[in-house]
Amino acid sequence: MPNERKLTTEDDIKAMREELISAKTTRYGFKVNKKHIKKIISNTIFTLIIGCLVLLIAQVIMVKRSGLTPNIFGYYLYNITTGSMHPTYPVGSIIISHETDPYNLQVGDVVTFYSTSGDRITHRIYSVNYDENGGISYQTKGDNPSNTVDKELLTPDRIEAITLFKVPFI
Amino acid sequence: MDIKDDKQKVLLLVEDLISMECFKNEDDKIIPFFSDVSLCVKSQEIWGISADEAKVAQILCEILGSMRTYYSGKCQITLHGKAIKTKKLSIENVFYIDNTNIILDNMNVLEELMFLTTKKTKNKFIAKKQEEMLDLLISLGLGYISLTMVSQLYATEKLLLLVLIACFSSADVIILNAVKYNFSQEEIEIFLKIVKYIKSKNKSLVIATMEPKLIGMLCDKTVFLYKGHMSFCGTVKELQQKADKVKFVIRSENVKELIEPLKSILPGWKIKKDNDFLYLFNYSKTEIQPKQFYKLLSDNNIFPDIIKINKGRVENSFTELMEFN
Repeated sequence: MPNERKLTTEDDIKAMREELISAKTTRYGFKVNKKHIKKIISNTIFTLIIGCLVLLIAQVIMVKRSGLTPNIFGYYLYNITTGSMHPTYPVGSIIISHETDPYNLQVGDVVTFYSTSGDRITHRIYSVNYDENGGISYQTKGDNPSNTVDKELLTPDRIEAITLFKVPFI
Repeated sequence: MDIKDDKQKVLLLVEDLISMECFKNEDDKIIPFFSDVSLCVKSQEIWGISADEAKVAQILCEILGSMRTYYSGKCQITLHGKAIKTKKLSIENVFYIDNTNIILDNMNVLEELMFLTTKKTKNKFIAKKQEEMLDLLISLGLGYISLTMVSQLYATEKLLLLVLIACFSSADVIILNAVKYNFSQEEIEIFLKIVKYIKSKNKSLVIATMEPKLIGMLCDKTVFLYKGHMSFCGTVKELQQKADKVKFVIRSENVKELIEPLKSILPGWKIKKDNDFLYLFNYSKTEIQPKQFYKLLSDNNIFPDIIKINKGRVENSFTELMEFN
């Protein structure tokens, strides 16, 4: 037993009570400081990332089963596998596209669509054509100078997405 | 002491218990430390175990706490009205305290209480719980050590803290083996408040002690073992009324001179002198009321400084039990 026995005083209890009251008034039971805010933010970001990943995986599985292209909230990710869009999108580029209104496209828009034979193609709209009944179709062409205009006219029902941008440094 | 009804649950049942440990008596006979001990601890009861020898009370206490085996008899802990048969369950239902080793010295009392009693919970609830614990400590009279480091507490204070911790455990019976400890008057008063708290939680407490005062102040029932036999088992009130033969205590500067006149007017009574006090034991068959006693003294020109009516003390009762057994 130490010589000096320090007993609890009224002041000690008062100070403790104040500490407890201040702890109770904060949301998390402790004083929120910068460290805690950082922790909360990093936790939120981490949760969001994990959430997105889970969604993505679920989406991919679901789409794979249905035979469609995977997308998140209407955004598509495509890999350029041919040189038809060179130099705008060289082979190996990844582009981000988004679902769009296929009846409201303009000359110059780059779209991803299915050919009549079922291949997925990304080309630029060269011209917009209207028939006698008011129907719309598009003439497309790859950016590569060696390309000629596509023979098939593109009907809106085969359009999947409009290209937004190319993922840089890839 | 509180009057109990029959609806109380039986928590601990002891029948014809004989200890494994033996000793040699004056006749060189080997006899068990104690035999034929029976008692029944119900919920909300506080029991005091005492004996002529500390070791006897200690062994009985250890058997009740499932810490020691016994030669024969029955010592059953009951849970929901059924006897517990497994050792594991017995230990879970009895909180046995005989030392203060489980208390960590590097915390203060409030922290220790939180550490040993509060389940891991969300931080926002901790502050509230801590405040409740602080209020509890203050209400029990432990405010003066509530934020003191445990390392600075006396052993008896640590025991009180352990008893309080036991109140938060799942155990219905708390067994305190305190034969080696002496509680101060202040500590006994705190203990009394803790005892009330134990009762409010529907638990029971069994204390083994060599301090009759502790039994007198805290316990509802008591067992006293003398020469290996159960010399008394019943309520403390009963013990005080039946066994304590001291009816009056007289204090006077010249107590020596009062002995002879008192002997002549109180035939069959025993008079014991202790410093300035005279203890008057009534072994006669007739009861004398205080009024009659005062009259008897004044008629015989005996005028002591103080006359005190003894309402019964556990200490006297135990002495009586030893003298007349």
